[in-house]
Amino acid sequence: MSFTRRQFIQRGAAVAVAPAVLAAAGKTASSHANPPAIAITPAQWSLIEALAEAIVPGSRSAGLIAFLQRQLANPPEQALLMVRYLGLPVTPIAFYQGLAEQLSAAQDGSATVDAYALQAQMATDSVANWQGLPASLYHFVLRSDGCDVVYGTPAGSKLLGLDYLAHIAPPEVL
Amino acid sequence: MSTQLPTQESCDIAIIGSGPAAALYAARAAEAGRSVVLLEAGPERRLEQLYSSQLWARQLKWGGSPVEEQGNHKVGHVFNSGWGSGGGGMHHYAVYPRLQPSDFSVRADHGHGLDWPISYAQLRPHYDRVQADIGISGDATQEHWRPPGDDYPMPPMPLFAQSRLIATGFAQRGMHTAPLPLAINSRPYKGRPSCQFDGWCDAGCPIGALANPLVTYLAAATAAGAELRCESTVTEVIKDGTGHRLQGVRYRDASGQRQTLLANQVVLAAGTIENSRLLLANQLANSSGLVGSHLMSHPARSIYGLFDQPSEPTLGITGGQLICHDRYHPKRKADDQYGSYQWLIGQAMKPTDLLGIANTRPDIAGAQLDSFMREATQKVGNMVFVAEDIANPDNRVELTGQLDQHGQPLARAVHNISSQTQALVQAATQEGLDIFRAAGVAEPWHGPLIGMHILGGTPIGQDAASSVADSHGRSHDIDNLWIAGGSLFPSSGAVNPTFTLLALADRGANAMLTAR
Repeated sequence: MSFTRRQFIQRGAAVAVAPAVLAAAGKTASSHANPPAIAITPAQWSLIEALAEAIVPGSRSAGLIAFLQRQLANPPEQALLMVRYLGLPVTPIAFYQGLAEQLSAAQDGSATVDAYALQAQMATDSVANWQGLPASLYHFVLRSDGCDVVYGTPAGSKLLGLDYLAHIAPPEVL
Repeated sequence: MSTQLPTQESCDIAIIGSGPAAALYAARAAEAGRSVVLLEAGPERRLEQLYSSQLWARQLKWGGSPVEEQGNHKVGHVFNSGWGSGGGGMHHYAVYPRLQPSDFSVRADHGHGLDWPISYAQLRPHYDRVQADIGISGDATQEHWRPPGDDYPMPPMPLFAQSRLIATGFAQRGMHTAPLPLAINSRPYKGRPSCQFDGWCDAGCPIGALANPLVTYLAAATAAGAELRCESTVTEVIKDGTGHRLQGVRYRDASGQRQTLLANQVVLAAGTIENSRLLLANQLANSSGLVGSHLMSHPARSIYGLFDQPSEPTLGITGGQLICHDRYHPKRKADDQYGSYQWLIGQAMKPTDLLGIANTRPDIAGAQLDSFMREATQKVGNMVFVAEDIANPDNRVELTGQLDQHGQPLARAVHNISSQTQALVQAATQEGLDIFRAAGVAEPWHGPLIGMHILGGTPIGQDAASSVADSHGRSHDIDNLWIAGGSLFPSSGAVNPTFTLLALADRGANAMLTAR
C-alpha cells in the first residue's frame, strides 16, 4: 500500500468522527465494564483546576477539567490519561478521586488555597498529613495531563512554533 | 429469546495473541496451507485509526487485566506491552540490532543467568530471512561490532540535527557511532512506502513504513487465509488424557460467550507476562518449576541536554538515529560491574507524553515550564542507554490469588536488578553526561532508570529440568504446545528484542510445520 500523508489526513478526518463522538459520550465499545460515576464535587474540580493552572499555565483555558471528565467517563483502557500508563493499583477514577479528597483536606476549610505553594509542596512530598498515594505522584500525573492539553495537541504545537506533521490528524479531545 | 450454546470448532493451529511472534507463526502456517485462528484479547487495530498523537497512542498500550508490580526495577508492563491486534508491535520503535554471539553463553562465560541452547550461528539464517521479509535500513559496514549477517536491504535513514550534534561528543571521546538499524523503510520496500521522518512511530505507523504487524506478518497471514478473532480472551488450555498433548483452547468471545476451539497445535504468543500467567493458571508445561522465572527487563536511562543551536528534536524516528556498541564488550567491566550496554542516539521526541520533552524536566512548573517548553522543543537532544539484565530465578511472574473479570488469576511481576547491574548503570549514566558535555552541552541531565522491554518467564534450554521449552520454543512437557515471543529469552543481551524474537519465531514455526 502507498498512502501519502495528505491522503491519510483526509481519510483520518472522515473516520475520526465516530470514535470521537462515542468517546465523548463514554459509550465506546469494550469488553470491559464502563466505570462508575465520578464522585468529585464541583468545588473539588475547582481545586484541581487551580492546582493544574499553577503547574501548567494555560491548562484552565485549554479545557483540562472537561478533558479529564470526558476521559474518566471512558473504560479505563480507553482513557487518554497519563495515569493509564503507570500501572497503578487504582483505576483512573479512583486516582482522581483520591487527589480531590487530599486537596479538600489540604484546604482545611479555608476559603482560598495558594495553589502555587501547594504544588511546590506536592512536588517534594512535603504536604502535611497527606494520605494515600504520594503527593509527588499526583503532581506528576496532573502535570502530564495539563501538558497534554496545552502542548500535546495540534494547537499546542502551533503555540510552540512546531509543525504538527500528522500522518492522520487526531480527533479533537478538548 | 434464544439461548446460544457454546460452539466447538477446530483448526490446524490456534495462536494465542497477535503480536509480532504470533503473526509470524500465523503467516508461515497459513502460507503452508494450514488452517489458522489467532485469538487476540484486545480490540482490532486498523491503520486508519493510528492517529498521530501521543494521547491517542496510549490506547495501543496494555489494556487487559492489571499486573501488580514489585521490586527495585519494575518492568513497566503497561508501557512495554501492546493491546489489540498487532500487540506490542503496534507501538514498537523498530530498532533491530542483533544479539551478539557472547549473549548466548553468559552462564558458561561469566557465571550469570542462563545460556541459550543454540548459538548465534544457528539463529543467523532466521535473522537474515526476517530481515529480507520485512526490510531493515542501516549500514552494516559502519557497525563494526555487527555479527555475521546479510547486508541490510535498504540504506540508512538520514540524520537530523540532534544526532549530528550528539555524535560529536562520542567522537570527542574516541567512540564510534553508526546508523541505527531500523525496520523502517528508507526507501519503498515490498509495496510499503518510505518513512516521512515525522516522529510518530510510538503512535503506530499508518503509512506502513514501519514494519508493524498490520503491514507485515499479520497482513501476510490473513491474506493466506488465517482468521483473526479480536476481543477473544483465552481462559483455558485443554489437555488430553495423557497430559502430554493439548486438544485446544477455551475462550470468551467479543460478546462474552464461552467458545471452544480445538487445534492440532497451539502457539502461545500472548506477551511475556501473559504467557507465564496462562501457563501458571492452567498448571501447564511446568515440570521444571521454572514457568514465570528469570523475568528480565533492560535497565534504561535517558540523557538530555540543551544545545546552543536548533536540534530538530521532534523529527526523525522515535527509536533514534544512531547506535553505539562500544560498551557491549567486555561484559565484566569492573569487579563490581557486569553487563553490556548500547547507546541509542537522537530519539524523536514530541512535546508531551511519558518520554516527551515536558517530562524530561518534571521538576519545572509554572511560568518556568512554558519558557522551558519553548526553548527545549527547538534545542533539546537526547539519547538512551539500554543495559543488560541478569536472568535471576527470583525475578518472576507469579499469581496473586485475585481474579480478573473472566475468573482468571491476576499476575504479579517481581523484578529486582543486582548490585552489579546497578553499578553498571551508574557508570553508563556518568558516561552519557560526559558525552553530552563533550558535545557542547553545558548542563546535561538524566531521567529516571526505567524498565525497557519484558523478557523471560518461559526460558528455552537444553532439557526439561533446566528450562520450560526447547530451542524451538516447543514445550518440553506438551508435544503440541509452542511458546513464542520474548518470554523465551534465557538472557537479555543489551539490544532491543523484537528482531530476535522474530528470528526465534521463524525457527520455531519451521519446526512446528515439520513436526509430527
